[in-house]
Amino acid sequence: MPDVGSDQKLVERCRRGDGRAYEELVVRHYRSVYALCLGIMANTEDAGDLSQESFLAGFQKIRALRETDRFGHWILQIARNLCIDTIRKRRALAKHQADYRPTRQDESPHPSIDILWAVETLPEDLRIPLLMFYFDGKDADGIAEALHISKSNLYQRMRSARARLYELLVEKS
Amino acid sequence: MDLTCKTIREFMADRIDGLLSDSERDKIELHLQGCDGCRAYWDQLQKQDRKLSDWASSLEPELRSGLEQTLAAVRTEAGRNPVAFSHRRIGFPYQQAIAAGFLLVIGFFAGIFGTQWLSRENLRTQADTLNPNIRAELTAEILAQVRTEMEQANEQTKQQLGKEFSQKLKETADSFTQTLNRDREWLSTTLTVWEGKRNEERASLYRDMAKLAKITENEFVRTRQYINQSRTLIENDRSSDRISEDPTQGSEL
Ligand SMILES: [Zn+2]
Repeated sequence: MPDVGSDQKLVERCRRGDGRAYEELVVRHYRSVYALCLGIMANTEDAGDLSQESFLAGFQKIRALRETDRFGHWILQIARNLCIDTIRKRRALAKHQADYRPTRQDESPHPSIDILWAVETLPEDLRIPLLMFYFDGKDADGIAEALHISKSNLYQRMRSARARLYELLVEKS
Repeated sequence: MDLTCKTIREFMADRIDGLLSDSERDKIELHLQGCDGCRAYWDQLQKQDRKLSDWASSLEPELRSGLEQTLAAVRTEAGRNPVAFSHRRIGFPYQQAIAAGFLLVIGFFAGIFGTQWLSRENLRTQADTLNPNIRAELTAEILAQVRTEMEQANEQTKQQLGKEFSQKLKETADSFTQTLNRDREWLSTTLTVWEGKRNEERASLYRDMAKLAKITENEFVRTRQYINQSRTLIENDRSSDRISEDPTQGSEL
């Protein structure tokens, strides 16, 4: 695919009615949106559904985006809000249960099933950066920016995530 | 575990994350040669890293198909509603009024407020928790959404105009007035509920909702004007089923 320019240019083309430009934005940002949704929802089915929903919402609201050079940041915010909404609705549905946990749906038997369980068990603030790291190209600068945290905070969370995984996988067994 | 081991183990996580300099890596190597505990820990971290990488790779097909599905969904959306994000000038108010009227006919309640981003439920929960950026975008979003809905309905209406439509417009203009009143009621109730919130939250929510109420009301008033204009026009034009449309007479909403 030829170079079609910066996100900003693509956003501007979208606003002029060029649907292809939006498709290019989806291609560029799908991974990070998916990783964020997976980080929050902790299951792949929700991650797929909510990623799609996020991009559709972005498509409908593209004119509301003021800083046209910040599409990546904006679409992650949309995704985050959609995930939080979904969790809240489910919690409301299951409010008689004292402790809501997202359920993993029909996950097929997998060699790394223990790591999946451990990742699910991680607190969200550790899980999100960890999954973004593995699913979105291991780019610390990008992840820190997307999550609105400093790089040192990100490193600290990655350390804690790895230490927690160790505890969960080794010390408890 | 003494302090050195603890520090070393933090370094190890950084090493996996690709953050360490050569000299820092050497420090770890040196420590590992003399510490069984840390060596075991390091093995585990590497195993974890591999498992996570394997898991991520195993999801690649799912990611690809998710991307494909999302692209397809976006294409469908763009095909169904090619004007969704263009700054297309909306025709003459007449056309727009028909769009608004049609929207009412197909279900005003399910229309504007039934959409994902504008349901009352959503407004409530979102305004509750939204970060300030999004909260600030809320009002712009509402305008954009209302316009999109109208433009969409506009397209659909062009093909569906008939004589009975003017009768429907009459009915809907009336029901629209009721809607307006009910929405005023809802907004003022919401504001009252939010007054019970913590002070610092209250002030900004209050401002947002007041702004929202104002915008919603303006949109409603304007739409009602358009509906009435279109009703008159349709009545004048009753002999003809065909609605002529002059794209050069565009005017922005
Ligand atoms: Zn040691």
